[in-house]
Amino acid sequence: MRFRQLLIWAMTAVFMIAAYSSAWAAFGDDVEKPKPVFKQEGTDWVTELVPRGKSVPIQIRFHVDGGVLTNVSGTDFADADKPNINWKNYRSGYFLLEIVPSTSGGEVTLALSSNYFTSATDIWGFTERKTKTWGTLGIKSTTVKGEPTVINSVVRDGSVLDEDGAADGKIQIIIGPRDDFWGYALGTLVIRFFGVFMVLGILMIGMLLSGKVFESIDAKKKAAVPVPAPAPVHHEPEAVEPEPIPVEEIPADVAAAIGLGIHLYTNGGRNLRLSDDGMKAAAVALALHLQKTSGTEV
Amino acid sequence: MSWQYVLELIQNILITQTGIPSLEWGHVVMILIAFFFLYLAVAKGFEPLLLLPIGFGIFLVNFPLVPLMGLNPEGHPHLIQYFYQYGVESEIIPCVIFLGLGAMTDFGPLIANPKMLLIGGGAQLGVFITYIGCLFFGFTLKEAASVGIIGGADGPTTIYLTAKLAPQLLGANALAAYSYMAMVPLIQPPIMRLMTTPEQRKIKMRQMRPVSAREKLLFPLIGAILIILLIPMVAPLLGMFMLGNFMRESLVVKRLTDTAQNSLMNIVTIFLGVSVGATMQADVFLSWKPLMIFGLGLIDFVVCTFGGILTVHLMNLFLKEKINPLIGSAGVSAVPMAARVAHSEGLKADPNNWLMMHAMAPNLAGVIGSAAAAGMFIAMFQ
Repeated sequence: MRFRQLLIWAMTAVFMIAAYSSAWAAFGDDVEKPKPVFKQEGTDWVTELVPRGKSVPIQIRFHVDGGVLTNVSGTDFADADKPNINWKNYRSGYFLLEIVPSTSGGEVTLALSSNYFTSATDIWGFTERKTKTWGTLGIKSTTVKGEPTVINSVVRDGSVLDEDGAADGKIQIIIGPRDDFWGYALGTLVIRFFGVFMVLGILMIGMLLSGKVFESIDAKKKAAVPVPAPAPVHHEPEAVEPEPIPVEEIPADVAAAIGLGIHLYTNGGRNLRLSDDGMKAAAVALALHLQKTSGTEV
Repeated sequence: MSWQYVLELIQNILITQTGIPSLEWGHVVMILIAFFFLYLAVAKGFEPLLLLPIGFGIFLVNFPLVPLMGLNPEGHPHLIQYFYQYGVESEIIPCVIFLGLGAMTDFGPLIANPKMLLIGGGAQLGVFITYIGCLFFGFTLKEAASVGIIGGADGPTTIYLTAKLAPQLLGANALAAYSYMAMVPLIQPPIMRLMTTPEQRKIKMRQMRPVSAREKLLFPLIGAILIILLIPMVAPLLGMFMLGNFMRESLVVKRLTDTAQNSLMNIVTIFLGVSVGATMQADVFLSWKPLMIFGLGLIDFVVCTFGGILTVHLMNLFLKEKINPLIGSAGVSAVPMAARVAHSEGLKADPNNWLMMHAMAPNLAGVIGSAAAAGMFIAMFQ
């Protein structure tokens, strides 16, 4: 037992050290980093990627009204050079959009649509270029049942959202569809924990009901079995008292066997350190012995 | 042929064809880790069926230049890579093990007392708490889920989920799961005593009703219908589990049942153990993550035990016939170890209190509960 306790303490110590170290240590490769692939479909651009925390690819469609979307590419988290941004909130990554508005200094309406987006999905980008402030673009989200969620935002050439900051007929904008990571993680945690309860609860109800059905079937079967008629009563002319067995007629080994039986019955064989099988074996041996020596059916 | 040439030849052979010059400290550390797990398996009897092949797998792959994992120059997998690819990566072996487990399981205690299913749900508390803890420590969502499931105390489920969501953590997760399953008699009793009063430990439970053979036969069908309809993602695991159980209870395919319980189970266990062990190569394994997994896994087990007992306390608020809270700890699905621990703690409180069969019910519920939790996670990350 001492070895086991030592093992537990050693593991706990290692964990404490590891937990402390992880506060600053780089934590392995970023295996879930999205690797978007882009293609142009008419005037739209479509990207396919596996977002963080998913196993199957999703699609995001980029569309612009009031201009031409000339290119969309993925931007690396490090290259984005945005301190104070929790990348965990941007599970599908960041995108660099290049747009030519209809007029220099003009406005375009950007539309991102995906089945992956929810009504809570926001789009964030630079709201203040000089201070690198990162915030919401101010979006309008539309969700129609069965259709991808569409998120619209208006961007003006030369505004703070424009990377070059000049009304030069070119808009470059870095954006990221944002979902609150901890909100998602905690929300799904609660839902799924109670989901397990719900599944087991439904199974429990199913089993309780089927159990009742089986019990009633068994009860009916038992009731249907004909009870044997009582044997006719013979009136004995005179009740014969059974002769008491003289004490000296019980052999010593039979007495010992009976003693063992009583002991097993009252103590459950624990004092003898017998297992369940051991107890069964002792009981069978006792029965056979009694049957053989006394001729009694046991 | 000059001596110079012979020496060069020997030097060349030593450098290019033996592993000695490529031996690094990481290999030595991993071989020592392998020895540690082999020691636990052989000398201490900790889950030897799994820890022995896992330990030997770690031992084998941590020699330099060994053609065991990865691909050969022609692009074909090496020996253990084949086992891993076809057994673990393709998720075959955990499901086959579930077939064997189903063929070994008598659901009688659970059928007789279906309320115990709730305890199996409550004992999954640690799975979800650890999931959050992992995220806090910087694990990704999928990694956090795969570490969380360790507390479910179900080896095949842990391996199945990890292979699906975070294969890079397979070795560490499997080792943590099986190590802590072996240490259930050490981890659980202090928590059980902490969470119960002596009077509660003495609660005697009514003998369970007899369960007919027909009822046992129909259980895998009813169970599969309800669970798979609600969580389709769990069908590979629970489907095989219920198939094994149906074979057992049907009594008409004794040879198949026997094969699933014994020969098949033993064969796949060898391949599973070696494959899992072989994923633990020094360059992959020697980081803080596996250590964190061991720490979080321990917390996971503790919280799961806590969750099971807490569920019984909550149920007792509403039940006329009280449940002995000790059996709540059996809600973690280390079958039948957790039930035995509950039983022995019950006997310590009252030598005439036999809890074994009562504790088997939440123990079996734990198997279903952890599989359900795994299914939930898989569905979440689809």
